[in-house]
Amino acid sequence: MEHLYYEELLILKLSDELNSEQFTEIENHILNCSICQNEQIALGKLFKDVKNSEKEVPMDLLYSVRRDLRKNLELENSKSNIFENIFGFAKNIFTENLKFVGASFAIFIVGIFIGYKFLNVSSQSENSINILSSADAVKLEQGKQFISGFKYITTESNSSNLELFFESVTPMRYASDLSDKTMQKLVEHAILRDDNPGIRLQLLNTVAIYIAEKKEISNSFSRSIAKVAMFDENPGVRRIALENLLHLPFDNEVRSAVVHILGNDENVGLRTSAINFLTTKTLNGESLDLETKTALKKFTKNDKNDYIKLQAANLIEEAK
Amino acid sequence: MSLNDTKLIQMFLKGDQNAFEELVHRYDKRVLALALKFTRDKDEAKDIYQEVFIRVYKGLKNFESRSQFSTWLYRITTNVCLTQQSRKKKYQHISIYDSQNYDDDETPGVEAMLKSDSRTNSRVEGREIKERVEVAMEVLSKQEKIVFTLRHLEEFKLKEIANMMECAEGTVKKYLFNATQKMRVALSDLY
Repeated sequence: MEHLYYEELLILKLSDELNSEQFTEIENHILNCSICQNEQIALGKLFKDVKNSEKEVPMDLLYSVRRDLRKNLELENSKSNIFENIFGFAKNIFTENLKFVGASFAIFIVGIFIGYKFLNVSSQSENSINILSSADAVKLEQGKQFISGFKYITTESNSSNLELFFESVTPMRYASDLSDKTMQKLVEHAILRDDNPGIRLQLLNTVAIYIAEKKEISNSFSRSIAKVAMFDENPGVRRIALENLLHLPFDNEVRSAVVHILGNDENVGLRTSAINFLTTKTLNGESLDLETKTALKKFTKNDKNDYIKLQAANLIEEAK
Repeated sequence: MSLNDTKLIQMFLKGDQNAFEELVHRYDKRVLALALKFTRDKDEAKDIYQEVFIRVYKGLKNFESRSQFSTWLYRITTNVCLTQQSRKKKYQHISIYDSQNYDDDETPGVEAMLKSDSRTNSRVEGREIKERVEVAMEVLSKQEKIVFTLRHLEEFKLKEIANMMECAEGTVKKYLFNATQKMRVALSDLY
């Protein structure tokens, strides 16, 4: 039993959990105990191998769970809003008896509705698809409208006119130009959350046409494009988003996004695009802040690609 | 300039969803890594990730900043890992002891899958060691696995782990000793 005490003390020693008295005690014991000497070596190797068995988190998995989280949080928001509104309304106007009557009536209506849904056969056609109302558009801007499953149609080629089909409780459509705030919100939602990389790609291409015409987009939209450039799981989508950033004002958001890509993107083509982006901006007279210069110094040492290291070094030199 | 966690929480509570997203991005890779180490199953790890951050999202309004946000986050993560029901029993939890008494002189029974017959006396490649270590961790109980992972992979102190698991430090030590002994026996041919 006593040796068990020293075995436990040894585990705590190798886990760096002992105070000075306990440390001295176990050290003195080890000097005179060959079992503990061997055990110390064995446990040291075991803990080292456990530490080395650590695996990197796959980035595509990380991007995928982040996207799912955004959808889930949106669902949470829309759920709580519905219940809060109903509950708040009922609380204000009903007495106890009326609450009971109201609840019974509500259950009756729900039963009728369920029966209607089960017995009614309806065919989906474009004529039965609702158009996004202005009330829904307001909710969308406030982040309270749950949307999923985008389909995409453009009415004209090389144009920023869009007609979107999507699900929001019922199938919906909305057609407008990207100058429309509601359309920007819908597109922003789709590029951040839709599962289909083809949809995200097509929408970003349309955004590129719009931005190239020097038209303005909201700060929120600009931030969303930056997020897609940094975090989308599809490298093709990230590339188009980065190209979009090229045409936006070179503010802190854009600069931080480009530096993030340079330091974190696994795709060497994208990191090359990012360093070329910074080079172009510098040649056009944009200055680099201290944070960017510090990051560039790190890249001259850490990046695996020689071209990127060289370009980073050149940028630092020119910035002096 | 990056904002600290407290500032981001305040911004989120005022309605800034981007602040919440930035807060998530600071820690989510580690949470996902812990979930993957604990479950060894991508789908289960994804479920844990979602559950943790939805709880954080709902619970932030009640977070009192008495502890650090990271400690609170890991407490939630630990709790979700421990209460997560496995979708499928991938691995049988086998006891490698005939009894739980370490002083027992009987040779503990070790399942064949934990021994590599042909390599008992030879040097094992790094990759095989990793796989052996992963398989060996499957014999640990949930509590032992989480303590062992938090201590040796995430390098938290035992006091911090006790805080996360909301139990006494002595209990955490007991889990650590049990886990170490089981790993030691499971990998006895390597060390």
